[in-house]
Amino acid sequence: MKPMLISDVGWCKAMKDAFTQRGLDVDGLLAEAGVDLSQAEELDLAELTDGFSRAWELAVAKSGDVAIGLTVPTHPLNSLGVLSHVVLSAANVQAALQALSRFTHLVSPTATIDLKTENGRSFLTLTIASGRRPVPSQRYDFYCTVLLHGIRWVTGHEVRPIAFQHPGAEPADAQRWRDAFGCSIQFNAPTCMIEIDTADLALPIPTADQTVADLCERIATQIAEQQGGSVSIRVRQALMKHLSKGDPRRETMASMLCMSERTLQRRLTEEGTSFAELVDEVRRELAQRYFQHSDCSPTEITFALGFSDPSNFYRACKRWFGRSPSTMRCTN
Amino acid sequence: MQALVRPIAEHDALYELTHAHAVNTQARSMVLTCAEDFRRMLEARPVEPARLKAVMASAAVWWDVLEQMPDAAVWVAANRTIPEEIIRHLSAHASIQVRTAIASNPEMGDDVMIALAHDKSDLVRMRVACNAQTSRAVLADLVADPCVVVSKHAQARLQHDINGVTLPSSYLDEVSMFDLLH
Repeated sequence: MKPMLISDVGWCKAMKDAFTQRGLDVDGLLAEAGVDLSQAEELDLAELTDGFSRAWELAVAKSGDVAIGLTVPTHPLNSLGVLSHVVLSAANVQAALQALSRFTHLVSPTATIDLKTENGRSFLTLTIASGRRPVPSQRYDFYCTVLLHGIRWVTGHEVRPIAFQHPGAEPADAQRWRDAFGCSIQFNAPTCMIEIDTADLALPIPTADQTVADLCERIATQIAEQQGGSVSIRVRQALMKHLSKGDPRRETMASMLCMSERTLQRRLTEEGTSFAELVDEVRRELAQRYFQHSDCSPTEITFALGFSDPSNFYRACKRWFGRSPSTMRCTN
Repeated sequence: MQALVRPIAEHDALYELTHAHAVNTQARSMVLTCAEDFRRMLEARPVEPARLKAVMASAAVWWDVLEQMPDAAVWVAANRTIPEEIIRHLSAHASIQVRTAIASNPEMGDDVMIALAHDKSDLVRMRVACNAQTSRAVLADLVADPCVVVSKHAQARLQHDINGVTLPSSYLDEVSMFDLLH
């Protein structure tokens, strides 16, 4: 699998497009925000989302416009990347939004979208991982602007939401937001939620093509699996990167994945595993690799695997391989 | 020239299953007499995509629709009964959406298909690669496509099943997110 560069992720490209439209120096702004896209793979989710939040805060400061998040992207498909094929080939808005909700993490690792219809009313909920700093309201503005314009573009209809619950504070000129979204807006809401007319969800997409939809959905599913759609895969990936920094703690991992410790525990249980099991598995795999493909001493491997004490590594090694670290070193 | 001939015999069964005419015989019998008829269909609620895709009209009416309702070009392109001159005109349309819809049309001629197989957008080329009526020659052309998915899909159809229905599950194993960026 080729590595995923954050700079190539659709939403990041869309954000850069918006900043460029407003005459901002994108690279300088991202650098000032501490977002080095070439190194983004090394960041955990909390660091990444904080970097993007900081970039939006700086964009507001430099442009002097708190409504910068309402900037309409040059092209709605720019933000969708891989999902543009899925959306354009979907039968209707509902199918397109459902596909977006399943695969949002492919175009934006820090956001999730959820579409629900209850009692004949349909709601699109947007969640942005908050990291260690609050998410600026411009990030909500931008996601919702892109989504709304995307729906309008693929259907050719001037779709207007019924209502918009916005988590940001009410701005001085709230009319700009009402004009942009074409509906009433309740600010300071607990969640970011757009109510869509259920009839609009049935609007057909003229470019629908079931063959292409099936193919692209299959590819998106495959990529999602490769990228680590499951929490256990994400935990394993994070452990691989961070074990050398010391004994991994569940609360630290939960924070890195932008979820509560309890949610992490529940999701791992749903996937039939636990944090301790994953730590043990990853350590075992890495130990085997170190013994087979490196000249590291048992002491060096002890710390590379995040063990604080060599005696713990000794016991683990006996349990995993039936041999002591020094015997493993000699035989590999 | 022989290579350009579509594998009709291989496609017959699939064509019957997928062709819009066969799907909706009621819509097939509808004929537009003027551009206004099409506007009414577009403005009707709920919108009926099957009818929009199957309704018939003379070339003159379609030209009127395109002139009077330029925003409706994508729905004209999605229609499966439009005459060749309209297909040809829309295949060079500035809008990606319009060209994408045309590229899914099983009725386009080989020269249009060849042109769309070299479209600048991989959204369009993907449609050509997936179009059940795409000829072997065009698929062979698409094997060299810069988009890995388009290339692999065309290759798989040539190697395993020209209709693209029974392709092995492994042929996209190496595809990554980058391969679908456009």
